[in-house]
Amino acid sequence: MVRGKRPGEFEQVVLLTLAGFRSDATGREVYERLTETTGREVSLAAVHITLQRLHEKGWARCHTSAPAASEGGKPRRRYALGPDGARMLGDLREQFDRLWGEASVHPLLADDRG
Amino acid sequence: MSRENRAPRWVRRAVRRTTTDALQDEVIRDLDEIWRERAASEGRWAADRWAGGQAFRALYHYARGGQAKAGTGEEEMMESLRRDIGFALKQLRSQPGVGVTAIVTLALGIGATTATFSVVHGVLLKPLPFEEPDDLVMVTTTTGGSELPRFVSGPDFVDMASSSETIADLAGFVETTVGPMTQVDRPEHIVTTPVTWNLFDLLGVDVAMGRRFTATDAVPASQSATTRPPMAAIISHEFWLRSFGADPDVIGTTVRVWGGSTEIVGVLPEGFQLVVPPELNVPPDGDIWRAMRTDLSEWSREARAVRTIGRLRDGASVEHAREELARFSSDRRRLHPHHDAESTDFVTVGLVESAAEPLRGTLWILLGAVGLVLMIACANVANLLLARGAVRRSEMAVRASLGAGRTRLLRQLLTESGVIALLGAAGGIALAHLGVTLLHRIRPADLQRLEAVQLDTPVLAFAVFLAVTSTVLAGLLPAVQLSRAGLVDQVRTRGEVSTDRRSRDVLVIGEVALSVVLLVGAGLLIRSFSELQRMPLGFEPESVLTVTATQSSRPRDERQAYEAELIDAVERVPGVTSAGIVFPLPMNGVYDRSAEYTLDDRFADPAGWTTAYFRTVSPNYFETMGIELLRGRDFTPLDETYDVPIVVLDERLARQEFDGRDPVGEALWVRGMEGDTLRATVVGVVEYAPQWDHRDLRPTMYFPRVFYQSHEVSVVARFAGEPESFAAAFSDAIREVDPAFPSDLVPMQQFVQDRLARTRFLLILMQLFGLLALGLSAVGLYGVLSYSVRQRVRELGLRRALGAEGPTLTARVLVDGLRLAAIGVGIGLFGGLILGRTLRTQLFRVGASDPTTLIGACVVVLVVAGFASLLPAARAARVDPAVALQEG
Repeated sequence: MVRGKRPGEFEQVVLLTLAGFRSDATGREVYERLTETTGREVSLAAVHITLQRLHEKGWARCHTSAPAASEGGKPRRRYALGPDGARMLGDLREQFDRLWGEASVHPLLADDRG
Repeated sequence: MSRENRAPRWVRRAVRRTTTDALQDEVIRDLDEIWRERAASEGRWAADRWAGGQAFRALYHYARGGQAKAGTGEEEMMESLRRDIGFALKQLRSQPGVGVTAIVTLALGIGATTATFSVVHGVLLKPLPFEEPDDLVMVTTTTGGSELPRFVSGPDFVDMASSSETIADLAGFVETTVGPMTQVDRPEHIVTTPVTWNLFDLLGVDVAMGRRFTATDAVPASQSATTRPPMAAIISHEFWLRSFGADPDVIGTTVRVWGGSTEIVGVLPEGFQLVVPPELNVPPDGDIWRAMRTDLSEWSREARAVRTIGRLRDGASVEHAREELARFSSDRRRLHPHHDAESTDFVTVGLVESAAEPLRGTLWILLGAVGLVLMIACANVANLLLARGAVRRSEMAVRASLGAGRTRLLRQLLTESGVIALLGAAGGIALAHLGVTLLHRIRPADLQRLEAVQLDTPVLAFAVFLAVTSTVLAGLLPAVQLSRAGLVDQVRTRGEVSTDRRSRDVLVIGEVALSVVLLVGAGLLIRSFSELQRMPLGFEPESVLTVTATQSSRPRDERQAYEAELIDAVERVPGVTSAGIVFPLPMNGVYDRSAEYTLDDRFADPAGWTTAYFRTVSPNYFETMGIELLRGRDFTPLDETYDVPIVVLDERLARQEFDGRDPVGEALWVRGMEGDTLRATVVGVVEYAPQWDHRDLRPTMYFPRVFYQSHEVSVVARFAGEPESFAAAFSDAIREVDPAFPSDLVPMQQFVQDRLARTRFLLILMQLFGLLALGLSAVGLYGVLSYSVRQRVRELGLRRALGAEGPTLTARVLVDGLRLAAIGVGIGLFGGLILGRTLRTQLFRVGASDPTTLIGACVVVLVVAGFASLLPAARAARVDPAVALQEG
């Protein structure tokens, strides 16, 4: 694993969401995509904070864009998946795939989760 | 209420607070943008709901370890909390009886405690509504030997104000009057307090409209001027609404108060109350505050009339001021020896401490008592949870074996009691709201600052604190026991667990003990209240109506004619059997009058003078009030016209000073009334009648009206029959003589009741808490016994099968219950003794460890415990051996 760090569950989700953007994305865009695709409500502030931390850990790139004329106001931070982040996600995916290969959960899924 | 087009302020604040500085602006901008979009597409309400969710999430993250940790594991935490709450709710639904009982119990406890706390908070803890109230002090004087605090004379006030180094500024006011304001058409009676012009500046109270007083408002009007400029007045918000219909142009209006023209220069803010210590005798919510326009330095140094408030200089403490006033007192003694026969001392106390002083004891006692009720409620809920816990042992064991750690189990169980406590707190807040509303409606006399009693944020925070405390108190013991069971007791899922049983017994014993304590408290108060009510009043307040009016000064002859006319007019009213005039009215709750007396042989001895109340009364007053004439004679109309001083003593004074001799014909020296020292001849002795309240034991001297010019007169009239039915005729008769008389008649009985109000207030609440405690512990005892009967079905069934009679089994269970109750009563007695000592100041003629009360409380608790045990005991006798054995 890159730099020996493990991402938390929420960090993974945010990073994966970020990976889904073709170009760089703002915190708000990540928040909206995340709530849409997972169907779960999360904290907008937490998304921002997590993106910033992903940047600090080297998994995401961040630059400050000049404000678009239409937006007016102040510059925004824009994030994109970094190479280290991509590698880390790939490693995780591999691990999961291996585990999934062994696992059989479908019979249990028929039951009540509780 | 309109709002800007963005997320609610509290949400923005919560999110901002919980987000790292660098990101704040961007997050808030996003928040507002999304809010606007959602508001446009789904409506404001939906947008607000979303924003609220965001705020809670942000706060939750923050609470879970701050901004830095946001995003790691908090989702799981949230999820598990939600699952625990969901599970707790499911538990509640599956056993609604247990849940509802627990919630109602806690609601009662939390509601009563919250309501009591709201009073404590409003009356004792909220800062006075003045600027830097801690720097305000009250200055009074005491006279050697007398315990009655008195006020400050005009010249002393001026001297003190100009010389003090610790007190930056002094303000004062003189006696409040109730008198007619003549406006256009109808006369109205308004409460006027003359104040020094700087009072509101000193308090730091600003006006809502107009201006505060200035020094020019206090410039004495020259006597020679033909037209005196009107006096300046600031009126209360309530008066402005009531009498001026909230007229925005009221500033500058001139009204006639006391026939003197008064110009309204300002209106005080809504709800203003002059909250000062009750000794200062000023109604907190007067109508008019008028700037005094006299030169205080020209007043008599003996007339101590100025109620004085000071503001300490920066850095000066009350202690400093006290030292300085001690010096001031000795200087005064040196400089004005001829004015100081009484050796006056000036004393000062912080305004904040003294304002609520008389209620302090009462309120803390109540809060303590209600805290005990809450503890009983918690013990009850703990008991319920323990009992239910026994059923859930196997569930816990399964959870534990599936890998749930002890902390996890504890958390889940505490969440369950937390949910119960929160629901209980919600019910409690509703109950407290009801209580506070009720309190505002009743308006107990003597309860100052009632307006400050509200369910505001600190009080609600207290309710939440109570909920958390209850969660721990009621939930921890069951949770610890259960979670331990989960780990240790995995196999043994059946049968009685002795530690469990023991804890429940201990809880019940505790409940019984606490209820004994509360009942002892309530009992002592009941006894003391009935002692108070048994105190002979010396007069018969039933069937007596009173009406009081302030008087402008009249020449003596005119006054006599006027008062005679008033009595005449009242006596002509059909139904009136007797009428009289008095000042001051006994037990009026606002003021009294005292003077000093001595006998011939002690005249020269400065220490030989004693303080007593005095009262001036018309002929027939004694008859009207039902005060029996024991010796000598009543006053006659002739006494009013002669200048020969005469006095009627009450029996207490007669006994004290003449000790068996007949005082009639003896002489009494009296000073401090008005004018010179008098030598009055005793002409009669009457029954003792307390001046202030039922506890009052100080004797009274009665003089004819002619010897004192009172600023108020009270007309009293006795009716044959229900006085209320004569009220209108009475009022009309008086107003025919003097249209300026108010029409609000007060039955004498009301004054008497009002003097008992504080004691009654305390009593009613203590009784309520005592009953609540008794009921709750009875429920607790019942619960424990029925549970134990259920647990012992097998044992009891076996005993039946082996030939034990039903009644024997009943007796066994009954004895079990009574044994617990007896232990509780034993412990409670000690608590009761301690509470009795705390209550001592509130008691009247009842010992703090009054045996009747102690025994009575124990008997009541034991009887109730017996009844609570009866039902489970009877059930024990009905156990069917066959069924019991099958169950085994």
